[in-house]
Amino acid sequence: MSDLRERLQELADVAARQGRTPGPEAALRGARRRRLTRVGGTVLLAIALVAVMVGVDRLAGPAPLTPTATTRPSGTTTSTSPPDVSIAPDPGAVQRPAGSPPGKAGERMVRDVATAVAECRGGPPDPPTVLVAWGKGHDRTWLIAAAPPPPGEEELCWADGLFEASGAGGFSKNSSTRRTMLEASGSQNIRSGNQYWGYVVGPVTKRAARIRVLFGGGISPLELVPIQSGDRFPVNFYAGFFRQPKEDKNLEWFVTRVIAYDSAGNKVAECQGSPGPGHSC
Amino acid sequence: MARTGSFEEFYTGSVGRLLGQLFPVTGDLHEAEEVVQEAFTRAAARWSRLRDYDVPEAWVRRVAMNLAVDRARSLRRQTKAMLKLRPPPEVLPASVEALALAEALRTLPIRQRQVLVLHYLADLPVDQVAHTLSLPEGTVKSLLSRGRHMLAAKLGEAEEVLYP
Repeated sequence: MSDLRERLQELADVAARQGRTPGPEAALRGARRRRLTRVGGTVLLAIALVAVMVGVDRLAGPAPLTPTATTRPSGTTTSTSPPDVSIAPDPGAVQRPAGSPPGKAGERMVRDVATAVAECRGGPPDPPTVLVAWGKGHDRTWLIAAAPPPPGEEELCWADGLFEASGAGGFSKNSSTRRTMLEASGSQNIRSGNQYWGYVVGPVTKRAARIRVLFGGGISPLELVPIQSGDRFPVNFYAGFFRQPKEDKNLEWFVTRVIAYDSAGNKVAECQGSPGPGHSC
Repeated sequence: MARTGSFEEFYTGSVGRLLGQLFPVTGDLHEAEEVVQEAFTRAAARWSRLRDYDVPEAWVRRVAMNLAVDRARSLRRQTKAMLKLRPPPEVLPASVEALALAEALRTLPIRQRQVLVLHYLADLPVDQVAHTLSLPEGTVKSLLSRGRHMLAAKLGEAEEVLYP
């Protein structure tokens, strides 16, 4: 009777003989098509950003705001030293760096966001995924993880998560580019006691020294400082909570505009909250 | 060590081997073809960098293995009910023993299939299996042990026969 190696080899030989793939030309065509799509998306985004900035500049009139005192994500505690996370996408164990969210629940949170980054990359975690920052606020733990883009690669994969103490919660994988200036996404209706909170997170150009988030619904603007992601990343990140006056039953995002300023108070990027559900900017 | 071969040569030289390694993992030849082709498409996008790797095939294999896990999860989530309606996998012209192995492998969790294939078919030592799957070595050893045990039980054979 043959052993496992021999039987596996027989299966492999049959599969290699019977298998039909479209060939190298199809792979090259697919790669070219994706590159073009990505470049096209970047160009459209740049055009949209320029259009928005020109339009808003014309409307804005007076000089930009001078920097004011800024805050970390409001009402949160933050760990900002970016440790490498040795990840093992589900179901492997996670080797957590010192200082990451504690306990089994923390382990699951790190694994979830790290897995999301790996999925965005569509491949092995090479180079490593980094837990850029995490913090706690309003009975939730938030995390931002990202993979430094390899030299010559345009795409930046990152993920954010928002979890309850038990580890239950949500996370999303995001794809930005090296040239991303400012993006925002987030969630709302985060209940803590009798109060509802919203959460806003995103990448921002390294030129930004502070970020102002403007809201509808009479919510006061939020001032944030970027989380320094280090030299391995082409952008920094930011995250913050805002207090909702009431539950958002219409699922309209309260965020209307996000503006990034440099250290001299000049506006360096801006994005408009998209109307309707979607929670992006 | 820098290599200068073309992508076409690389593809032609390694696609059969990768199909052979992915088929026992996916349990379905068509599925194996898709993940291998997708992995090669991603490799093509990075070929200027990958061609300098000592073993670019190892990168493609890692991507294909990750894709296989993603697709298995996605199938599990989205079309669990539909699975019952799918036609049975294509029967390949192989010996009864090999076909029984393919059938038994399909019943194992995908991570166990992966470590068995990488260790016994691709001949990778435990540390390289761990690197390929981004798992700790202890986890790989445990998956190997459980996989061997379950496979022997499914096949109704003693472990000494399967793993002399």
